[in-house]
Amino acid sequence: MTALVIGFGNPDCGDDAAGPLVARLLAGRIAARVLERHGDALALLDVWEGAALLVLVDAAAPMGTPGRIHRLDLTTDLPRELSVGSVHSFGLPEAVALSRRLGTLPPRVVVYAIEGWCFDVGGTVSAAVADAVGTVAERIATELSG
Amino acid sequence: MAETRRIRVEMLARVEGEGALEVDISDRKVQSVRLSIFEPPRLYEAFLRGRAAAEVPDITARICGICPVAYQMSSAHAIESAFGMEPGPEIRALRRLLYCGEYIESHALHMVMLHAPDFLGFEDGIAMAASHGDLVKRALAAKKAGNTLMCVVGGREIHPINVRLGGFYRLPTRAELSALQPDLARARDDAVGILRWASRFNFPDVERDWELVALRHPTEYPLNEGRIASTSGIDIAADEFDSVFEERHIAHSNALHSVVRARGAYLTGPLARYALNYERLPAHIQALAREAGLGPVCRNPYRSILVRAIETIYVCEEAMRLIATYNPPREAAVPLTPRAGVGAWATEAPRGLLWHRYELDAEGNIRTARIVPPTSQNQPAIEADLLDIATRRIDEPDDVLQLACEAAVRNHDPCISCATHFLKLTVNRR
Repeated sequence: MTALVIGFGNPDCGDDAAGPLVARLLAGRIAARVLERHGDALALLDVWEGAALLVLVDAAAPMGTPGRIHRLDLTTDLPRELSVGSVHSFGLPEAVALSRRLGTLPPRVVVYAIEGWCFDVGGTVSAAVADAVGTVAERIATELSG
Repeated sequence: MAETRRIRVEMLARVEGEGALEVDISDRKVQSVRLSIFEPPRLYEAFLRGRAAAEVPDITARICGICPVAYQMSSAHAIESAFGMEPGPEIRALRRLLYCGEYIESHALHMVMLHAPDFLGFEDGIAMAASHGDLVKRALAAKKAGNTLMCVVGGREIHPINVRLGGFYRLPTRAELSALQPDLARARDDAVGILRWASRFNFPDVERDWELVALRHPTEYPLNEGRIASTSGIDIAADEFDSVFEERHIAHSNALHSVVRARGAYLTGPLARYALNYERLPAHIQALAREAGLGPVCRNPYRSILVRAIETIYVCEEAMRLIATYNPPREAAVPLTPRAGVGAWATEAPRGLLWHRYELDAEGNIRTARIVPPTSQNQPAIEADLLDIATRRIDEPDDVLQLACEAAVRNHDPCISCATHFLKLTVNRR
């Protein structure tokens, strides 16, 4: 039983890279498996099954404050409204909800969501999100060392 | 006094893309049913003009996240046809293998996560998972096998990047493909389990008299090639498409409607492929179909879940056969010599016939492009289906009628994103 950190997002779509960038800062630094993933979140169910603690890091849709950090200690499902709306490509909310019903969700799940600004293909990470990436990495490192 | 009813579905779930369904009822009669696709036009055909032929498979793959291989295959074959070349049997086999991966991925997801909840009274596949977890896990495992096959042959599971005109950028090794065999064998067994599970569903007793249109191939269940055939006698090459079929602009939809010029609405997809190619299925898969209650032709759209299971079994076995007989070609891609010309080709996307036509200049740049996806072809047949359901169930409460209409749409696994490219239902009763 281990801790698992997954940085979720497409590294080539602007601020969607927030999750993978946090993962890169943490890889090798903490006593946990650290993975980068993007695409179909349903594929994550096999990846996180068996972990004791799951930390998911993902970019969040713009809500007016790029770089703002949201930390959710998940005892319930993520709001499905957070999903991007393609039935053929399940997002994190669907993957978490499905995994919970299948009995494969780790007993403790923490989600860090970093509000993004621009998600253009080929775009760069905005300054506020880049700052937040470092902050989130430090907070996860501290949380897992405690 | 005349009754006026309006039922509105703001967002029809478990269908890809954005659209709306509007049903007008007055004087206890269904006056019209409109499947309105309001997802904005994506203008692929326009921005392909002037692009180099080599870019087309990668650009058109972006039309759809669940059937990108179909777009890559139809475009590559059409352009190669215009250049007067064929890539050879080894490339052909590898393309068929890639297509098998897409079918496994698409059908596994639709059967269990999108379609089955309609028969069992669940809001969605996630709600269904609490009591049918084993089947959901089997579907996810099958989908994963399809994803992995797509990764190994196509470079990644969504929007593959390894397809090029003339072949592939990189050939998989025998060892890479052989490693997929155990998961494909399990996916095949999972599909048999899903078929037997779904065969016990309580299917509405309906038969549709659609003209069924699909590719037909002399020796194999069609994926990449064949003549366009129908249950009413159509038997044409892909470049004769316009002589038999017509695309029409409909005011309420951003997707064009396709009709058979002489007869009107028709249906493509699993039911059509199965009916026109039943004899191409191996005898043991025909036996599984019979065991599930299917005859050589199935005209009940609700039973399409069974046909998808049969097709999933078939493509798993076909993938295993293709891997076992894999003979890597000497070159990953056959060199092409551009020339001015016109090429048309149709392949079978998981949800139906996908026709492409390209006109190219002497340098191999696209002069004109036309893409006719399965969902736009199926729209008139889906509307006819909905008209019949709304008429038969006109006295039922709006919420019940709404669910029935949504389920009827999902029978066809439409991809509205492809057709313009989801769904609001409005029932107006006056």
